[in-house]
Amino acid sequence: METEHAHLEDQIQKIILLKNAALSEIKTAQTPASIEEIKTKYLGKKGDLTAILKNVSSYSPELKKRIGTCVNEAKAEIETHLEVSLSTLKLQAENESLENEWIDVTLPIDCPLPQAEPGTLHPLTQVRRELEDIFISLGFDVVDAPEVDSEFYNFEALNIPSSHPARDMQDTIWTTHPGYLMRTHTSTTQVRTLRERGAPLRVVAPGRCFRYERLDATHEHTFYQIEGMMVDKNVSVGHLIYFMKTLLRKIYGFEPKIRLRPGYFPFVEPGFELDIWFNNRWLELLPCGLMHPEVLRHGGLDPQEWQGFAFGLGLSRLVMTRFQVDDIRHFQSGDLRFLKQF
Amino acid sequence: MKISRNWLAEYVDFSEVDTDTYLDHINTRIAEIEDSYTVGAAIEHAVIVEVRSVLPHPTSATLHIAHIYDGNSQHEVVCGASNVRVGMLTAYVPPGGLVRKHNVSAEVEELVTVEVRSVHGVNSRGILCSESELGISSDHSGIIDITDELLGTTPRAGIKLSEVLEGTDFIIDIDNKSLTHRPDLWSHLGFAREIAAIYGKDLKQDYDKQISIDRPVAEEFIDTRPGDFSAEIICTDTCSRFSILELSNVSNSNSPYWLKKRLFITGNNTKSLLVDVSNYVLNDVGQPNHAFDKKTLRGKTLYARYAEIGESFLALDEQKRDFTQDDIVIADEVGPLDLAGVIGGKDFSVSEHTTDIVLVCSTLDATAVRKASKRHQIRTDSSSRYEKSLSSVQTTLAMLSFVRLLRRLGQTPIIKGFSDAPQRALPSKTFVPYNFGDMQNRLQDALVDEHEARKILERLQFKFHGDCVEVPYYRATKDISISADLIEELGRSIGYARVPECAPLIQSNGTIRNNILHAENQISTFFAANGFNEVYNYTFSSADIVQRLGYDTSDIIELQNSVDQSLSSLRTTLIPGLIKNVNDNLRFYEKFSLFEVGRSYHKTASTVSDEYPPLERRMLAAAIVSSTSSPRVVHPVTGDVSLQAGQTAFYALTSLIKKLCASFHTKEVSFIRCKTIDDQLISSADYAHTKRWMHPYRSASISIGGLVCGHVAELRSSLIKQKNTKVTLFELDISALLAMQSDSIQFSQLPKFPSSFFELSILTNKKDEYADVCNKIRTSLGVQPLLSRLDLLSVYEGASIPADKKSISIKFVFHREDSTIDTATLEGLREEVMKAVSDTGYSIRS
Repeated sequence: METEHAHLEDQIQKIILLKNAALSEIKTAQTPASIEEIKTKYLGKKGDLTAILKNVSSYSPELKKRIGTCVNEAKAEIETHLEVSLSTLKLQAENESLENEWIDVTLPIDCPLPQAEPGTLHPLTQVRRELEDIFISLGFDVVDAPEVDSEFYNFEALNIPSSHPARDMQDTIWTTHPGYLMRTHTSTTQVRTLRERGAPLRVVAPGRCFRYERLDATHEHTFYQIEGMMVDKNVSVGHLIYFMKTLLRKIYGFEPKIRLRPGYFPFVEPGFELDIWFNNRWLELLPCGLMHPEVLRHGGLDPQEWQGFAFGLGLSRLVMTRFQVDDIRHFQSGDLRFLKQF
Repeated sequence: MKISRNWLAEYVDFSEVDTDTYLDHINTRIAEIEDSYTVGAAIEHAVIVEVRSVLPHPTSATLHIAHIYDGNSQHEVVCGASNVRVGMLTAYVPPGGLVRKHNVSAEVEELVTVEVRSVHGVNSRGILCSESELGISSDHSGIIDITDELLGTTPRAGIKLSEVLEGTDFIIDIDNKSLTHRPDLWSHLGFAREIAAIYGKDLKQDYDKQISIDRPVAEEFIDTRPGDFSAEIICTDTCSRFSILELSNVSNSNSPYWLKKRLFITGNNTKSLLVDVSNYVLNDVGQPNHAFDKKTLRGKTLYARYAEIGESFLALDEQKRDFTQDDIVIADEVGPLDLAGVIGGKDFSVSEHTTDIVLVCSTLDATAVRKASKRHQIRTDSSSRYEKSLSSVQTTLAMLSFVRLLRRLGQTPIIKGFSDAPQRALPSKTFVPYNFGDMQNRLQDALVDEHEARKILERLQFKFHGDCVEVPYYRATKDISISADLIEELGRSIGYARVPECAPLIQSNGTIRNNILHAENQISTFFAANGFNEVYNYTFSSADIVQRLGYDTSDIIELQNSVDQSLSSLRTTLIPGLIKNVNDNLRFYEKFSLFEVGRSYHKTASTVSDEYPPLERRMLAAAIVSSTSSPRVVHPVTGDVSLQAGQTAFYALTSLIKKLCASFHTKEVSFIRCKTIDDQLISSADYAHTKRWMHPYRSASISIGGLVCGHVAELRSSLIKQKNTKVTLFELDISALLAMQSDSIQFSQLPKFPSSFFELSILTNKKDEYADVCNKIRTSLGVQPLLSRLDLLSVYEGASIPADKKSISIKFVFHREDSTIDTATLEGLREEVMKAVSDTGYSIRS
């Protein structure tokens, strides 16, 4: 037992010495080739560390196992250092070879861009701007809010408490920043804007939204909405209908036939689904409603005095129907074959 | 949620309403319809027949030839069912009739036409049907064996099946999401109440007279004493009512066809009679209920309580469930019988021998059930109803429905005991302020008058008490609690189509422009006009990808649940996205330009606590891609040195950035060579140092008015997936660009006298930078009020110049406001400049 223990100490000491030697050689290595040499010397089939394993074949299984573990740990550490050093040296070598490509970055000269073809704006940008312009012409301000927002603005402020089943309806992507999430809708702008600006107000807020969703032709975890709201004294469902129909008249250029159906969203009451009669059938276009008194209260307003309407227009879907895009994944693909068509 | 019209008709007589109107009314006044369809066609085509003889098939061992009698004549059919026997009554569909395809789900009523067909050489004139082919259940194990008991009446050969069994029915499938706030609509009774209100009819069943908030126990049970068991609630915070009813003299045989069919077409499984009755009651009145075999229960008290650690049971789905202390269970004096609201225990369920049952109905906290359902990863028809917040008034409603259904099925149950906890539970009533004027305003005067409003609310079972209305119990759990909820009741009842479009009178002070959004629009227009295609990349990236490009990852915010490994954190730079776009597009194009306007997110020292949001930066990034095999470009300034594609791309971008900044009237833009540190990770906001993706000798930071707010660099060729390609990228912080806009534009007088100039060619070291050379000369020259600017003319390397030198030709322009500079003065200035140049150590090339 005593001797076994002594052997073990002995071998471990040997391993540590070898490892340290290897690490210091790596530190001073100057070329990728010398790194390869170090690798063969210590880790190769006939390498120094491998040799230790061969020497202990006569020891007890218990001892062999412990020495084996030690060797493997040392090997792994050396391996990591080798890799880091190799990539650094390769980069240095590459940098040296690039030195003759030096240019004077301060030269004030004007060169032509390599491509002469016209560029394009993303279809979502084009349609978003068109809608923004319509709303601006109707007296709405365009506002925006962060894509990463607090649980408060995304849920609580919108009358969606933590126990509310509506939180099940929205599969949320959460960040590790405490209390912050990827906003699931542009409705985060409702209470934010009310708190910033007070009433009366008329705003639209375009933006990116996120849901925890697997990608396929009709589902994206990243999509686009335009939120709109008007807060004033004595706002009615008739006003909501007016703005929605005016919007549709301007987009489609004809008198739209629409209908409101009851729809459930915790931050509006009453809440609606607005459908448009298109190609001989009803198409679900956007959810909307009169703002819930609780939301107005969160925005610092007295719901007895102020009312509002709000709507959330699905921009991605609108663009898909407008241009007959069959796959939502094209939007985030960066594929020029797609982008150049707009 | 599937709703059968025939089932509704048991509550309300509305047969005069045609299908389109019915669908439209449900859709526009109640809830969203996902699908609607007719079922039961096969029953209409089937005739009850008697099997007169069964002979073996001449060539098949599994088939039989049956002669059947349809009341008039005999027919020969080939039958594959093993249960065919002489004397049985079964269902027969003659040639030309329709049957369901048996192997499709209940949702799809896919029909096939029966034809005279030769089956292994024997002509079969029609078919004998299974329950599945008739649309009664999913059972396809044999042909239907019609008995008195299962039909509910005496069958006779020759009569049409539809004379004794309900045939066609119309199903609407409601989008469950549109019922999130309506626990009452998870039942046929709920829809019947709505239909009755829409058409101004009375409910044919007396349920709402039997059970109300003033009378939460049905008359039938009110005087019944507890029998062998008493109900007791221990978890009073999450269970508001716990009622038990003991019944004897029941039998658990097979359910009759009509019951099976109702359950089948509304999407339920059928098992045995008592289980089917329980399910039917759930779909009928919306209250979950559970029947235990009384003989299996132990002690004298049943409890609604929290489970204890270590308790478990075998659930009906054959899985062992270990309880946590948050689980509510129904337990007897020995242990748990039921994971309350979710699933029952197998050992206590009814069997074929059951004669005595204990029917349990409880009211549980919605959140507690939802959490239990998530914890145990099982969603049931019961749990999904509890999640919607059920009223505690209705426990005995389910019991009443249960007992009545047993009687309807010919049983004579004896009520042995009833126990209710808490005793005489009376939940408080919900009152909502009623203000007709206000509601009329919100609806743009769409209501005829107040009388109409009152009539609508009364039909929906609201009760008027002065300025308030009392909300019917089944809608008071959370659906209706404020007066805005009444606006919805009125609006949907009259139909929103009646609300007129109305332009509001508004006071406008002019719209306010959002500077950052406006700038983003300007920027994207600028780049598109310069031949760039706009891309959108994800806000997500991964620390791994970002790190490989040389970025420090300490400011990265990770996602808790990412859709994809490569999208596991928030992006801190737009560059990785553009590099990917470039490589993806190189498969199809060799020359292109891309840009993106987007946001990046960063952790900062002050944002570690949740009071501070993550830092959001508004970024612009662009890439230009060109092929090095394309014709070499002649230097636009020097003319004599042709630049490589990479060089022109670099200068194309720097000059474009200058133009962009000029369009925003920013302060002066300059480019400063990035410093190289030995392969370290660099913070995304540090533009002064070279990152790993950059060409170390072709990278510069962008400085606007002295603020470094971006960088421009050639992409290392090792990161480009196509040979002979040069990629140059830049990234710029848009907020910084806006912050560096000049305060105001100041007009200066137009010059009255012409400028004068001379040119000098200065010999410098090859790696001396133009900006640096100019600065040195200016410094050396000191204050010279007449010097207005230095213009670069050309840079020359090559013959007649030492190999380690280059020649920069500069035009020195002078101007004087009060006169033209004369030749002598200009010559003096020339001497002065030449001295300054040689003082800096540069020599003049003559």
